[in-house]
Amino acid sequence: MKYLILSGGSWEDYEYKRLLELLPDREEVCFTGRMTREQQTNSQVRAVAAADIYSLNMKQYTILVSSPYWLSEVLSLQAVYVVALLERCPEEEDKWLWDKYSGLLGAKANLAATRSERIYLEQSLRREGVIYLGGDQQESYGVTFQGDRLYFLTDYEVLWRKAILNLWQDSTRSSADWVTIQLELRADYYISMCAKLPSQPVVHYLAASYLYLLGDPAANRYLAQSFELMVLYEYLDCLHSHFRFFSAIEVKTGDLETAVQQYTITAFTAEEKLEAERLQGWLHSGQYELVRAELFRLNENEAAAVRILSSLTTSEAKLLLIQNYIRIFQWEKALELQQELEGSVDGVIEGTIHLLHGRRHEAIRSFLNAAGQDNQAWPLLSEMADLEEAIRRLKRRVEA
Amino acid sequence: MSHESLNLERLAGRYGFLERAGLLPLPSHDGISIVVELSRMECATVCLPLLLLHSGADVRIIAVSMTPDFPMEVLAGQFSPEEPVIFLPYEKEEYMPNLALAHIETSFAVLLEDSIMVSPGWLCELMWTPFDDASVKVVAPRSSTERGEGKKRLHFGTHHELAEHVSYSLGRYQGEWREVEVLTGSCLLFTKELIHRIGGFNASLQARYLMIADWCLRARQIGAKLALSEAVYVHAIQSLDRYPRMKGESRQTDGWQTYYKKWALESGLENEGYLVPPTESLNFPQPVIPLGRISLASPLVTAIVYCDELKEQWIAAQQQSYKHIRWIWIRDTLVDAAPEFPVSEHDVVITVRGEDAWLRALKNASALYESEIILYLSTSILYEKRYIERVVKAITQGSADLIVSLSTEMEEAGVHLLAEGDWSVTLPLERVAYKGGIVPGMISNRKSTSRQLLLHPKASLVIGYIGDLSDSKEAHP
Repeated sequence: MKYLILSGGSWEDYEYKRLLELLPDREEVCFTGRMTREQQTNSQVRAVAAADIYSLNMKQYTILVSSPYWLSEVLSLQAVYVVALLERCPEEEDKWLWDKYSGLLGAKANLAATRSERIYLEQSLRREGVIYLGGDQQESYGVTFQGDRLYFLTDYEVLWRKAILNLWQDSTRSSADWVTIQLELRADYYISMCAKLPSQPVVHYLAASYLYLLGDPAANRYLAQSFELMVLYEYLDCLHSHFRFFSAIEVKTGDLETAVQQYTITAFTAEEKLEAERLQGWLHSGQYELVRAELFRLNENEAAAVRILSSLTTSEAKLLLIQNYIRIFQWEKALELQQELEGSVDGVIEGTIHLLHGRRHEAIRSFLNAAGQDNQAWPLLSEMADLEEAIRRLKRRVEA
Repeated sequence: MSHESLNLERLAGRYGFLERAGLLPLPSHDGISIVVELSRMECATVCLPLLLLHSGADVRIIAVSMTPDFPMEVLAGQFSPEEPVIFLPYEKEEYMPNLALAHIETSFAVLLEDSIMVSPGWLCELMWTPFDDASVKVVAPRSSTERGEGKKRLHFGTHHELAEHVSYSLGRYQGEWREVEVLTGSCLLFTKELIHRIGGFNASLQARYLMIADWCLRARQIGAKLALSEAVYVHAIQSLDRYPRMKGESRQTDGWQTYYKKWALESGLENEGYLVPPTESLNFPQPVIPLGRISLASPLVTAIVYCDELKEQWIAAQQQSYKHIRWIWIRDTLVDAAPEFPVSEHDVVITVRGEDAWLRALKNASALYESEIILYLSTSILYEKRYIERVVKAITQGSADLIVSLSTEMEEAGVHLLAEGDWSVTLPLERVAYKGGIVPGMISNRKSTSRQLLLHPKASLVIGYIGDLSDSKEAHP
C-alpha cells in the first residue's frame, strides 16, 4: 500500500511518526513537505513538495491528512481512501473556522482518527468508522516487524492497523469488529474508574456514553448515578446535559413513550416545547421511526438518526434527513436532497462546496445570493478570505 | 576486604561473564522440556524463534496446538528439522498440555503460552531456584499475566527497549526470589517429580489462570513451595480476542464457580485476593488430574467397597473395563480379622472396629475424592466387567441423579415403579451409583442381617435404573 501524508506543519513537528511506522503493508510513504536526506533514510519516508503531489498516481494511495486546510487538495486529488487525523484547534488558529472545516474533512474521510477523546465521542455520534488514537492500557497487544525492527503494539495501535487494513479489504465487510472492540475497551476502562472514583459524575457519564454507543442497557444505571451526583453537587443545569440523555438510551434499549416523556421534562424553550408536541403527535399517529430518529437528533446522535431516516420515503422524513446531513457536514448529500425536494438549495452551503472544489467565482455568486440585498454577504466573503489565509499559512509551514 | 570475600567477588564476576556470554550450561544434567501452548499464530511466529534463541542448547520444545484451527503445519514449516521442536496437533477432548507433560523425560519442565517473549538468561535464572531451596518445586517469572504480587505491567515500544530492561533487571536482581501463595501466569517452571505426583491441569476450570492457580495449590498440599523470581521478567502479548465482551463470559463464570467450590472460597467479585483459599481448605485432599491420553469425557469415579468378609477371589475378579476409578475399601476388623489386606497400594483402605464406626466410615467415604460419580459395591456380589463403565455412561448421558442396577428379583418385585414416583421404596446400597456433589439420601441397615445396607433416596432426586449388571451368580447365593 502507498500512503501520502498531508500534515499540519513540518516533519519535525509531525506527531504521528510512530503511527506511520506501524502502517500495514507499507509499500511507500510520502510526506508532503521538506525532509533532510537523513530523516528520509531513518524513517523510510520520502519527501514530496506540495506542488508535486498531483504527479502521484492517486489510484494507489491512501491520504493521511491532519489539517482541515488541506481539504481542497484532498477533494481534487481523489485518492482511493482518505484518513482524517482530527485535532483540537491549535492556539494560533481561528476556532470557528478550524472546527467547521475539520467537520467537513471528517465527513469526507473514509476513516476518522483522533487523539482527542472528546472528538472521538463527537465523531462516533456522527458517523461510522471512527478510531481513538489513545488508551489506558500499558500492555502490548500485538507485534509487528518494520524491516528488522520489532515493535510492540498497544491496544489502539492494533486497532489502527486493523482499521487501515479494513479500508482496503472488501468494502462490503463491516468495520464493526474493531469499532466495537474499542468502544468496549473504553467502556471497561470507565466502569473500572467508577469503582475507583465513585463520586465523580464525569466518569459515570463517560461510562454511560460508551455503554450507550454499544447499545448496552447498563448505560441507564451509570447515567442515573452521574445525574444523582450532579444534583448532589448542585450542578442544576444538568437537565439538558444529563437528564435528556436518558431519552436517547430509552430509544435504543427501552420504551419509546418513556423516551418522549423524558425529553418533554427537559423542554424549556418555546422551540423545545414545540418539538415535544411534535414528538407526541408522531407517537400518537404511530410514526415511531420519526420519533426515534428525532430523539436521536435531539441528543446529537445524528449517525443513528440518519440510519433510520435513509430508509424512509416520506417528505417529512427527507426534510429531517436534510437537517441531519447539514449537522454532520454531509453537505453534498444535503444539497442533492434539497434540490430534489424543494428545487432550490442553501446558498451558504452551496458556496462553501464551490469554494472547496476551487470554483471561486461560483462560490462568491452563491454567497451573494444567499446574503440577499442588505450586505449580509460580507461575513461570508470575510470567512472566505480567512480560509484562504489559513491555507497560505499552512503551505508556508509545510515548506519551511 | 578479606581474602575470602575478594575470592567470592572474583568468582561471582567470572560466573557473571560466563552467563552473559551464554557459556554456562543449564543446572540440570538432562536438560529441560518446554511445553508451548499454541493458540495465536501471529505471536507464535515471533516468540517461538526467540524461545529457541534464548533458551540454550539443552532444551526440547514440545509445541502443542490448543485449538483445532491453529495452522500448525504453516508454523512447523518455519523451523528446520534439526531444531529441537516437536509439534503435537490438536486432539479433541484432550487438554493438550497434560498430554505433552505425560511424555516429558527431563527432570524439569516449563509450561508457557506462545504469546510469551523470553530474553537471554531467563531459563538458567529460573532453574537455579529449586537448587537454592530443594522444597521449591514451582517457579515463575514476573509478567503482566501474573495476578497479585507477581504482576508487572510494563510498556515497551520496541523490542530494543524490552531487551534493555530485562538485561538491567537480571543484573540487578540476579539470584533473588521469594515464596508466594499462588501463581497464575503464562510461564511456569516445575519439576517432573511434582507433575507426576499431583497430575496435570484441571481443564474443567475453563480459564487458564484458574487452572494454574488450582495446580499450584495442589502442589502446596504436598508440601511444595512456590517461588516468584525477582530477576526474570517475560513480556506477554495480550489478546484483544476477549472482546466483544459477551464472548466466553458464561464459561468464565462457570470456571470461577468450580474454583470457588473446590477451594471453599466465598464467591463474590472477581478479585485477585480470592484466589488464595483459607489454610484449612488446603487440608482437604484433591483428586489427581491424570496426565496423558485420558479423555476429559471420562469422569472420576469413587468406588466404595464394603464387605463383611474380604475375599481375595472377589478382588481378583474385579477387573473393571473402566479405569478412572479411585477405590476405597471399608473394613471392620471385628468381622474380618485377616492381618493382610491384599489390595493395591494406590487404594485407600479405611479400617475400623465395630459396626457403628464401619457405618460412619461408609457414609463419609464419598467425600474423600471430589469425584463426579460415586458408587457402592459389596463383596457379596460379583459385578460384571463392564459394570462401572455402563453406570458411568448412564449417569453422564442421562438426566438421572442416581442410578440403580436392578436384579431380576427386584424387577419382579416392582422396584421399577419408583420411576413413577413411589418414593417409599428403599434400594440395596450395593446397586446404587450417584452424581458427585449431591446427598443421595439416608443409609441404614437391613433389619434381618446387619451388614446388608439400604439407601432411602431423597425425594428430590431423579432416579434412573438399568438392567441387571451382576455377573449372574452372586458370591453368596
